Amino acid sequence: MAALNLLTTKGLSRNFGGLWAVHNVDFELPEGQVRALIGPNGAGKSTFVGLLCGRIPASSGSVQFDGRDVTALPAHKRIALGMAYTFQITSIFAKLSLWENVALAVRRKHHGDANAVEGGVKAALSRVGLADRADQLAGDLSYGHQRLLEIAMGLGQQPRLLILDEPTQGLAESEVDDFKKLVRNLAGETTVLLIEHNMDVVMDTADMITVLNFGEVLAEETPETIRDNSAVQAAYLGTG
Amino acid sequence: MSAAAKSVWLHGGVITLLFALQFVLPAYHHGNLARIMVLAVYAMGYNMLFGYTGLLSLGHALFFAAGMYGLGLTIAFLDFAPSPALLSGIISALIVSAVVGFLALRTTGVAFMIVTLMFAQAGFLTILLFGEYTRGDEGFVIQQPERVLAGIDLTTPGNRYFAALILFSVCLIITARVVQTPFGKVLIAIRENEDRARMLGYDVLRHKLIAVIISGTMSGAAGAAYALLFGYVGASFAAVQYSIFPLLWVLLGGAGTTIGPLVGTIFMFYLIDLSSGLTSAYMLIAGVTLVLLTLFARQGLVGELRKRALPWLP
Amino acid sequence: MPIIKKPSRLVTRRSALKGLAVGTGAVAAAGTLPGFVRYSQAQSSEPIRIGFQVHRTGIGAAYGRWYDRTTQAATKAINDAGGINGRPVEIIAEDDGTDPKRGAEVVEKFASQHNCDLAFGTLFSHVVFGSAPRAGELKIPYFVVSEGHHVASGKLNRYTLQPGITDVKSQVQAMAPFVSDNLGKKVTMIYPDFAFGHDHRDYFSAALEQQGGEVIAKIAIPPTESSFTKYFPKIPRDTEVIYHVMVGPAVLTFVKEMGEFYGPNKPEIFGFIDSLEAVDMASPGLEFLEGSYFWEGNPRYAQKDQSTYDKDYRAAVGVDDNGASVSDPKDVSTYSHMFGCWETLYTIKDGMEAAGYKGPEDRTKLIEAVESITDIPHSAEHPQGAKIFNGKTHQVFGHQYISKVKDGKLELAHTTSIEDTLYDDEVDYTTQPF
Repeated sequence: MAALNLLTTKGLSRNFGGLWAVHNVDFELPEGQVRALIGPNGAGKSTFVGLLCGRIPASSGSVQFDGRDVTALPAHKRIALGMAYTFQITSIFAKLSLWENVALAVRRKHHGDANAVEGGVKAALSRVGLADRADQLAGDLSYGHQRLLEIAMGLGQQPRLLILDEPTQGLAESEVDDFKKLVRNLAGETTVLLIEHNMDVVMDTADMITVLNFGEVLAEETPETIRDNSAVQAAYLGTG
Repeated sequence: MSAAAKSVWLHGGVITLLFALQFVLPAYHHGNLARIMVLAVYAMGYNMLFGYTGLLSLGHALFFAAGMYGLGLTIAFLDFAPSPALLSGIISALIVSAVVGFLALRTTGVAFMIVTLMFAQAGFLTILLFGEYTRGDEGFVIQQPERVLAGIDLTTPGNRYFAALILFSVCLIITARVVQTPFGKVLIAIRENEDRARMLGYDVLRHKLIAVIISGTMSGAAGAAYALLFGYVGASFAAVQYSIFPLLWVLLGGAGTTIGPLVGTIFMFYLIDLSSGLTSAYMLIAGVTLVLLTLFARQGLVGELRKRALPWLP
Repeated sequence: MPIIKKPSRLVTRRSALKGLAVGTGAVAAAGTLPGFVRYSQAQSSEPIRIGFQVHRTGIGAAYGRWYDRTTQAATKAINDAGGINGRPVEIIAEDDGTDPKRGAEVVEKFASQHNCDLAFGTLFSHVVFGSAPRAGELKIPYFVVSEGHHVASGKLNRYTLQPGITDVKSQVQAMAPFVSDNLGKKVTMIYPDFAFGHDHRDYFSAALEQQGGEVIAKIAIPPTESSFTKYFPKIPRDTEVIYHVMVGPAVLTFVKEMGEFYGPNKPEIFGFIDSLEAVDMASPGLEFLEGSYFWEGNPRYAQKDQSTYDKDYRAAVGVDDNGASVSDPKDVSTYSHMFGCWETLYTIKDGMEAAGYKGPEDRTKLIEAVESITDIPHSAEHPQGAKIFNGKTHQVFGHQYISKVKDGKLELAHTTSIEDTLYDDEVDYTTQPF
């Protein structure tokens, strides 16, 4: 318990028409950790991260980020405090160049400093291996490359907390390997919260794993112990 | 050549061309172009919101009229000289657009269209309601002696053209500059993917509000200039068709292009001018042309040019 | 050829020119000399080009259609009689869409593109307001046929004139004596809540007060209204006369609902025909107007004592005795206004002949010549009646007609004097430089 918690939630809940999508979640994420969030479809993972970054308002409970209660803040203010969020369904600026896509992510921090923006864009694109495509239109990229661009936009913000919502979905095998390397590189640099179905990716990258089921935390353990957790096994039964 | 350098050459070239044209155009087209430049300012104002920010307003006549009446009423009732009256017109439009933006931006999409339409309709009816002062639908004339700006008589063709050119150039340069700034890039980002822009940490509402204000103020400057240069203030400019016109001009010329509004305004002006000489069903011709353009040149004239040949066009 | 038999009332030079024109006209009309130069004026047989600003589309379209027919008929009559100064008249029509912005553009087109000698023919006030500044700047004479008070109010400029139709102020104030003497002293006014309605409200209230009457209620109807039931209860019970002017297509609903409100026990009703121009008096719903009175600019139905001038004018334009098109009895004319086009063209002719008009360089001479016109006698050229032109205010004054609805037709009940229509000058355009 040496590390400070970058993110804490207390009793965080979200009700959709009588159904608890997320219910009473207490969650702590220490600074610098790579945390994976897993669970069967409909477990409330995306809703949960939506609550964290402010896309979805909470029904009750609180979110603390960097020691500050951000529950009442709108999404863009939470982002400005150092969160970054990549969408589960690819969300990029299709009619703009890759460069401009990432520049939009970089610029907010380096307002007015063209050199810093240039450097930040190059660095982010290089990290996902898209530097040589900077002038292409984002909409012309393959699906896998669009996912990478999305991650680059996350990186470009130099966030304290990077939330990746199913980043490897639709990536080719080799791209998944590259992604794993990328996340491992990020470890120590930034805190990562990763929603992921691909258990390979989870096991290889996460320091800790949180399992959600029916909107509640089912387990929170290291990758090694989670394999043997029968409750997790049960939750995953039949879901592949 | 960098994008910024190309932008300077393009816009400098357009302004130089318009400057040069006054020496060669016959009187009729000389007069038309002065008018077109003022209307193109209106279109550029509209384009800032529709073309660059992706917000479709159906109430811009309100901003145009705010500028027009802000100038006209202060001349008529407070004996303002043209320069403070012009400023009054621009400030009126700024205030009106800030208020309308603040309220209307609580809605999005179709609701935004309807709310802006309702605001403009309310503005139109207000002008009629205060007929004692505005002379309602009939409007009023600003006489020649009241149209001498800083010693320059704006009723002579040369001065009028020059004044229109200056206003047009200032607004073109503002537009070209704004869309190159980080702020302008965020507007484009909001147009392309609002949710994404928000999740990059941008205050979407604030950006939209500023876009409405820039757009409305520019539209109001056009309205004030129209009254000053052409000597008439009337409620028809606040009616719904004057909210539709800038949309058409921008669609024709190319939404989200800096010179599209000018091209669209010229195109539509001469389309109506020439076809009305042939048939009284000229609005039908204009309509059919619009439909054809939206079918075969979806991006508008300049937009297609950008898509097919000159991808660097700002 | 009654057109040319007219007492001389201007300078002698003018009479001389007229004589020449008559001679030319006679030759042309006779048409017995093949190959003879039809327009034999020495210096030029180029046509005189008159830009006709016409409401072909937009709210004024029904008026525009009849303004066009009247203008074409007058032009034909003028040309058949030898044109102006021996030159034929050519009408260059441009649609202004009943829009002030387009109106100004059209005036510009006349002046700079079509090289017209003058612009003419506008009806709707807002189009006049929008266009007149441009006409003044382009220094092209602009003869409007609008019945607005804009010209005489001094709000326009030296290049804008209205010599062919009286203005709303004189029309309205001339109604007051008749209303208070014959219909009642306590009047409730119902009018549209925009400029034209406000003119009625202000001018009539003042004029009625002078007659010892009183407007006891002023009910303004918003322009967007399509049903009027909620306004009728606002009419005071002691109302003796309802004065209504409802310009717009809602007039049929208005009359029908007023009928439902009052039933048979109605007060006297006086209205302005403007809203029923181009509308058949036999339209269903208008029965309630039976026995009520209307201002008419020019009696729509041929009266028993119809003048030969009206008869000939009617025939020339193609209007039957009921005020409808001879080719389509459903196509009702705008008879109370369109004579203004006919008369204005003849005044232009008089002015040009008096000024010895040769081309655009003589435009100011033309305006001065028209400004010097005073009496305009009842004639074939001026079939609506005698008029007095006020050169200082650029506005003509003339008789107004009050008709009663009898058997679904309008029967002339009273003709006002010209004196009833006069008011103090509000401007002297002749002091303004050209």
